[in-house]
Amino acid sequence: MNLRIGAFGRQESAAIVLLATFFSGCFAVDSRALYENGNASYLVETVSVIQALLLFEIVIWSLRVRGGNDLSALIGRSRLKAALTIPLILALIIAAMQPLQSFLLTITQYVFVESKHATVCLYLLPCLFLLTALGAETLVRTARILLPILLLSIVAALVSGIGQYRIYRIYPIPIGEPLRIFTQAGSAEMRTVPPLLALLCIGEGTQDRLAMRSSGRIGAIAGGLLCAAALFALSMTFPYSQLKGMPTPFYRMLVEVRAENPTLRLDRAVLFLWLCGAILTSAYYLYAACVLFCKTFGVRDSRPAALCLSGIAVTLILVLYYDAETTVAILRSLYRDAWMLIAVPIPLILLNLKRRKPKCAVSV
Amino acid sequence: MRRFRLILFCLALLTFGCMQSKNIDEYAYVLNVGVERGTTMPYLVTFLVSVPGGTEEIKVTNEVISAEARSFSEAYETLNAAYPSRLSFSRASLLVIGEELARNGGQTTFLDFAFGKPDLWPNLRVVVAKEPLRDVFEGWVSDADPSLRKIKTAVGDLSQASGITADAGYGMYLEAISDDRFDAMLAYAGANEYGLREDLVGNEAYPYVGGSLLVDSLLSTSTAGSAVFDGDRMVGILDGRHTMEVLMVTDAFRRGELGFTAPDGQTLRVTVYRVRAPKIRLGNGTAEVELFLEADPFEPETVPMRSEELKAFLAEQLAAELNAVFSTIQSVNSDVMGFGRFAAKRFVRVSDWERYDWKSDYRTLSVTFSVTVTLSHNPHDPEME
Repeated sequence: MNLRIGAFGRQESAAIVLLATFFSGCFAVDSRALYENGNASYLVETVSVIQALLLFEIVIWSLRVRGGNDLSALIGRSRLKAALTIPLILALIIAAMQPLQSFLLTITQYVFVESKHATVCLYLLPCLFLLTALGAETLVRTARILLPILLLSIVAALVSGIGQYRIYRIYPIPIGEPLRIFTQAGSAEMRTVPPLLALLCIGEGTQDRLAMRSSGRIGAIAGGLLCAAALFALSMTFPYSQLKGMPTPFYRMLVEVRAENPTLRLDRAVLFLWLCGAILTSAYYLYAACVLFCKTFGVRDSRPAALCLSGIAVTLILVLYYDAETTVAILRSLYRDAWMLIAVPIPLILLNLKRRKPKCAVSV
Repeated sequence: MRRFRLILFCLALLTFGCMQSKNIDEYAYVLNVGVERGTTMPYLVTFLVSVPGGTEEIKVTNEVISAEARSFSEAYETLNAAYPSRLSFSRASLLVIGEELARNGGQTTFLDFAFGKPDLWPNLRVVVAKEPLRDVFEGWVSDADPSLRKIKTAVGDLSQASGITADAGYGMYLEAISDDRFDAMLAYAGANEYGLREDLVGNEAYPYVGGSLLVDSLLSTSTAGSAVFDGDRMVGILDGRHTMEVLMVTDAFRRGELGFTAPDGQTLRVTVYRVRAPKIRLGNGTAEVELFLEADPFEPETVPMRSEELKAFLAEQLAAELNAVFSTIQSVNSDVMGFGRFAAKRFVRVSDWERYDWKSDYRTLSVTFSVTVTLSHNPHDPEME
């Protein structure tokens, strides 16, 4: 077997979950859907992280009952394993695409204005493939190394924007519509569940189920809080009527800071740091999808799958970009309904657990 | 060998950046974008362009170019084709709207270019000016400042240093016309030869407004006062003093100089500073505004009042003037003081807020202004307060 999972500690796995939660939560957002009926994004993110953590705890509990270190142990030898695995792999590919799609849009609109989407996209494929092929240990250790500088850049961006924050922009706070917040949080699970789902896929590398549980909890809570804080800062920078028309609001926030303080030109430097974080997040999801695929279908080497899935992700980004109308329609439905790819198989996996018959004693 | 191939592959990837590259000398930089009503087409679009290079003595040349068009992109394409360099908006700093167009709200359709040219808008300050904009732009050009460095920060600096003009970025302007919580107040500029402008409040003998200042300088375009909007339509001009008073309420004021007529007829000039953010409480049909200012009189030894009297006098005068300014802008249905920002706090459902018409309540809003003044120098009491 050459799945390249390796072995890593709690800090490393918490770091990758934190980064993935932040980058998915902040950059894999359909602004129109999120801000269509006002701005409760920070509440939605918080509720969604709680829902994701509950799901994670249930799976961890199932692993304890069944005995196993990762999600493939739960899927086991079920006859339905292909039907259970493929939606999860698809969900991870979509989760990998979303932040990259957002960054590509930012780069082609604000930085390399005259460049074509495909030209910039070409740079992504080797990065994604290389990281995905090198395996979990490389990914999580890189995340641990990048974490301080990425956190610093996020905090610097939020602090530098203080001059733009106006508290009146967060009103009206839609606390009178809890059902809508829960519905949006359900859709937002496509952003908050994949970091934990990917951790469950590569759980073998954490060496211990308890280590996996605590790193998942730490990463998701810290990442969720950071993401909610960033979304709250965004809510104070732009009114929701403007946010719903902004494809890349976080970069707009940095640009506004530059406009007010021309000497504080953080935008480009921070954008490229964040791009590194987004590529790492996407590679993490793609690698988790590779492992799930290899373990389920008995493939012994993760690299061909890594090349395949990286190619699929980049191709999908390009296809969705070039057919604008279809892209918008598909993305809308993905952002709205793709959570079902996770929500349907996991209860089935859990049901499968109940049906498992105890082993009969073999009489000699 | 394998490593060598890998390095070669990585180097090959880096060559993508050389494809379709363009020399920086091929560009001319648009510093100001102007739009006013056209004669044949709906819009006359004017650019103030800075061209780097030239001779050794003159490193930068500035030119004003214009085209009539139906949209921004049409004007851009026309001018780009008719100009020897490629036009870049990466250094654009001012968006100037002609007054006549602004009074009809005609700029809104034109300004829909924001998404198509996102590199254009982020650094822009929005200004309203009396047409023709070609004269206004030419008045900003001087051989003493060929790189036009001052223009890029002039509006913001003037607003911060003296409070006599409003400083609104393009983002703030878009928020004002799209969000209905407040109305836009933009800097006002004009070429000096056009004579006196009328101030909305109308109690000033010499309204301090851009284009009507009695100055003789290298730059013939001046900026002072502000254009006041109701939604996307300009409804009037406030002079420097009244602009300053509105900025005090919106917490955009830092410092400024004001003159008052003392009870004995003597003119009393003071520098006023912001102490802290104003307190605004919006009730049902009423609002209370409390301002906190510090005053520093010019020539303190000639001030004919003791400190307590002076503080009470300044507070009373400012409150009366704020009342007059509010009544005037309320009469033209303009919420430039931004009371609508506080109205949204009362709602817990977005749908209720969106159904609510703030402006209908604003027309009958009654506001009480109170001003707390401290003195930074007391003329008759030797101790500093």
